[in-house]
Amino acid sequence: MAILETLRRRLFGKRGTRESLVSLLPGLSIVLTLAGLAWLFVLPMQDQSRRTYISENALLPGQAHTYFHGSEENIVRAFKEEVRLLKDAPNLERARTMQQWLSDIGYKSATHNWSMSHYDDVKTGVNVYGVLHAPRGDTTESMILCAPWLNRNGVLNESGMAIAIALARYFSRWSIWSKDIILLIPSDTGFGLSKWVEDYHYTSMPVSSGSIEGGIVLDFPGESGTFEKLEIFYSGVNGHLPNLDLVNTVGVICGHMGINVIVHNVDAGDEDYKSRAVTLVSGIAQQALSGLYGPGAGSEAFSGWRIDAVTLAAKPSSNGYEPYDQMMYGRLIEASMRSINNLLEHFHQSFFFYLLLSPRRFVSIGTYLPSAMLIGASFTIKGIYHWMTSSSTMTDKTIDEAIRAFWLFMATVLFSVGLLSLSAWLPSSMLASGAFVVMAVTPTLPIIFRLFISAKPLSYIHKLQSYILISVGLFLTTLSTLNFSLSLMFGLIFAPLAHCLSPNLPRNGNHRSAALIGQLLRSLTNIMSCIAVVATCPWLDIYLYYLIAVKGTEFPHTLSIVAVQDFITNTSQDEFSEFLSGMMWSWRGLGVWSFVPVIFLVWLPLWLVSCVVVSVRPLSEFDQSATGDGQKPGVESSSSPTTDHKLSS
Amino acid sequence: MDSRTWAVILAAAVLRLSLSWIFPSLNSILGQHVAVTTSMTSFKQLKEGLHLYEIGISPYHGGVYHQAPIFLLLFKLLGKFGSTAPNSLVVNGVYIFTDSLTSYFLCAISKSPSLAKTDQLASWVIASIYLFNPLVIATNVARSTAVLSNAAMIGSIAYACYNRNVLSVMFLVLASHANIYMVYLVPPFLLLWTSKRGSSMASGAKYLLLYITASAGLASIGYFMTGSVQYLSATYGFLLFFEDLTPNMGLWWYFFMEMFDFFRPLFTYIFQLYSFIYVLPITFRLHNYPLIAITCIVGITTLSKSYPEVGDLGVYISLLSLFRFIFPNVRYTLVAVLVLLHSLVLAPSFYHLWIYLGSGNANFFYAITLVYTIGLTIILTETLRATLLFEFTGGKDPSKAVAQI
Repeated sequence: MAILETLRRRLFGKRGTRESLVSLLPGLSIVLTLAGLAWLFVLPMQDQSRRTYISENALLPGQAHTYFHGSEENIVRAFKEEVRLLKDAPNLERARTMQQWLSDIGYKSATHNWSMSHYDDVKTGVNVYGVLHAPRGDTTESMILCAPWLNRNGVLNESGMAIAIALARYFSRWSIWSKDIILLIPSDTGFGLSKWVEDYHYTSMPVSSGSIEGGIVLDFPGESGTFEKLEIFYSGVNGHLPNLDLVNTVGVICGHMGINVIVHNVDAGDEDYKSRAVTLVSGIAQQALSGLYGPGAGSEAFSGWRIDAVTLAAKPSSNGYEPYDQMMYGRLIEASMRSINNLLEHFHQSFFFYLLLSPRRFVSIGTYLPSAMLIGASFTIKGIYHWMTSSSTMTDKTIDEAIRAFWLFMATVLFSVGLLSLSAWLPSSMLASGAFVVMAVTPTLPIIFRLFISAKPLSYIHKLQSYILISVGLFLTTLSTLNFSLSLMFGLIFAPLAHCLSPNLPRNGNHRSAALIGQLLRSLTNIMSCIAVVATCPWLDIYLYYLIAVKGTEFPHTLSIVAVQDFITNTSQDEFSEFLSGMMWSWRGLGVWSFVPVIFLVWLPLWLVSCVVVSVRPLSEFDQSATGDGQKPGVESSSSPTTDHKLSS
Repeated sequence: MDSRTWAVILAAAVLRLSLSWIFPSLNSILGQHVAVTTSMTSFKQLKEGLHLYEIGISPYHGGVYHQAPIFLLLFKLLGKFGSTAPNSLVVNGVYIFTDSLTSYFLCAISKSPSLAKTDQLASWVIASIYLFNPLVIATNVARSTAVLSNAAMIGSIAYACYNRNVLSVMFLVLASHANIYMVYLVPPFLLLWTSKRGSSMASGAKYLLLYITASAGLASIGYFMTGSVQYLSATYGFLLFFEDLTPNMGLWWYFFMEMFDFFRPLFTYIFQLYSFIYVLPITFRLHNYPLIAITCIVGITTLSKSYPEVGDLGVYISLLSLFRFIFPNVRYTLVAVLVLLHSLVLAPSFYHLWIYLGSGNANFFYAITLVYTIGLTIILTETLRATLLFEFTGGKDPSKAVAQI
């Protein structure tokens, strides 16, 4: 024991073990955040990832010979011509014609009218679909072949649709199918497709089939019918991904056929660190923001329904070199459908949680999860630190203070819930004006807090911070199991609020010599807190994101007022309004609960509490005992020596 | 009961009423969630049993209904006053009234002669710890019948504290009729019933006899209702032999799902024995503190019973709130709270991953129930330790020496 005691003395000096350990927590918290971030950049290293492999033996990708060539090309060309003729036809006529085609080739077909409305903001469309009942099946399982009318960029999906219909016609002649084939032509890849999937499961449709085991979305715009490379889109909404086996199947088939396949628009093998890192980061960004604005690639509409789907997008070349033709694309789809058809049970064998570094290389959840978990844990640990510095014993006074801090915490949460319901209820046209009001009010919040919240003792502020940090830590760890990327993203955005925030300290002017340094330090920490709070303001960040990522505005290089003004005003109210209503619609229409509600229910309370922390007036221990438990509001902090000072310095 | 307590009860009633009116689907969402209700307490199954009973078929045929026959009588009676849909006025009224009554009982216990001598939290705090506990609210909104049996159990404690022993026996009979694990509370209750000065072993035996007779009487109504003894195996047998492997917050389902059938009887005995094995030692050791003994047994049952649900934890926490005097001795509160908080948030999300998205599997959810058990175990052992320390120091306030984590 003597050795231990000596060791303790060496390590911590005269302080008690508990105080020493508690004083280590903020450092530990920062280290955890940095380690989480560093871990992310370890992942693309050569030895941290694995090559993909087919886990489900039944799939047998690329083993069956494909016959979609020769005279089938005439049929593809003919359908392409027909599709082109329908280009300017009204929705309903277009749908009727296509339904007729499907009936002619022997499919049970129907149209699906959908509409969604929020006040006068109405979205409508007509989907067409047909079902081929499996010659060797019992209509309990099906697979889906989906060719949207407009692709993810809103371009007419000409070749994609022609190939899909020609393939459907070709498939109907085979007797090998053990799963029904559903050919779906939705009006777009966003609401139209997701509404169809929802109605397929919730309502009784005129033509129906069994549970959908897998799906492939065809995305092949343009009339030329040749392409340079194939991009696989696989992200679903709310962080949901299709089984890795499906992505691999496509990858393996492409490998057999010699098609150049890419993910996340990164066209470089998996040989160098940089391309793997770029793929990883864009994969994380896509998983986090999937479905947020504009129609997605199409595969995300199937997530959340136990349907594994990928979008295969044929990308035209920029320099005219296009080695692959549309029949090759068709054979790729044929081979993929054959593999899905081979499945004996639902996709389950391979990973559902993975990050791709290249089409043939991935990291699994066990390797990447620590990253988000460490960042989540750093919030919890910082919260524990705040709790432990604020109360050493549980007396009636501290319990009372804990309860009062809890009320303020609950008030910010309830306010955020209120604001969320309000913005969900506002008509789309009023969103932008509402946002401008909120943005105008926000800068006055610190002043309001400073004036209307009575001076608080330091331990009260610590308790307040501990509540919010523990809740945020709890939320981030939970979210990291559902949507790793979003958890990581929010963890990094919130990090300054956990580490750089220190409450106002009561003035301490007794020690003349230390006063100057003390003042300097204090103003430095105050400035850092203010910067942290301003930089993490949700509205500001969303607006900056909109300007830079959505509008593509150049960040001003010179810090002149004109340049900054140009940067900030590079938008019209209509465009911004459309952006905001798109975010609301993604929640309302596509069920992306992991973004808008999270901003309001987690980010906003955290930010509001931080705002309170930096703006509320301090109450020193001396005043507190003089005025009786600090109950009386409005006591100016006096220049008395305080014991609180050392707690947070 | 001061005005503040009444205000808390009123606010809790308004909250429950507005929850089930603003979100009408909440009843069925929570009512079908495995963490909140089990087949022993599900309101949906109660409705099905009630329907069978009303059209003259034995509700215990077909393996739908596994709850006590008395609930059928109660809800048949309630049906005469209006609809018994989960968010109808009658059912809302009954459940809100039961929860308010439970909180009233808890306040009464804290004001009882034996506890009033000690350091106690204010009545309104005790009432709000029960009424505003999210676990209790969820159990109530899910219309779990555990709300009713827990109310009977806490009522029984309250009457025992005021020496109304016959009423206390009757309430415990009701509670253990609905939830057989409440039988474990009989030994510490015997301590309570005989705690009055001058009472003897004979009076204890008298109450025990009364308890057994009344229980047998109540259990036999099932025979008169259905005309056969099949209900015994459908209710008590179903619970004792753990026939439903639906996941829940407990330790049983995963083991029994993995196990070969011929091992099942052995492990059923072992698991049931495990849930009982602590009862007598705790009763003997804490014979000076029968209320704490009851609370500890409630906690251990929450951990080891075959169909546990999160509402049990809510009741256990509310019972703990009565013992303000041992709080200063309890260590690791922050750890236990954080562990429980994380497990309670992660459990539904892992269940969602497993059942709805299909991207997780049973191990996810089971791992979280293990974490939940660890949190519960920390609280259990720390309460026991704090009680023994309190006994050892002779009831002096040792808070100066002990640091809080």
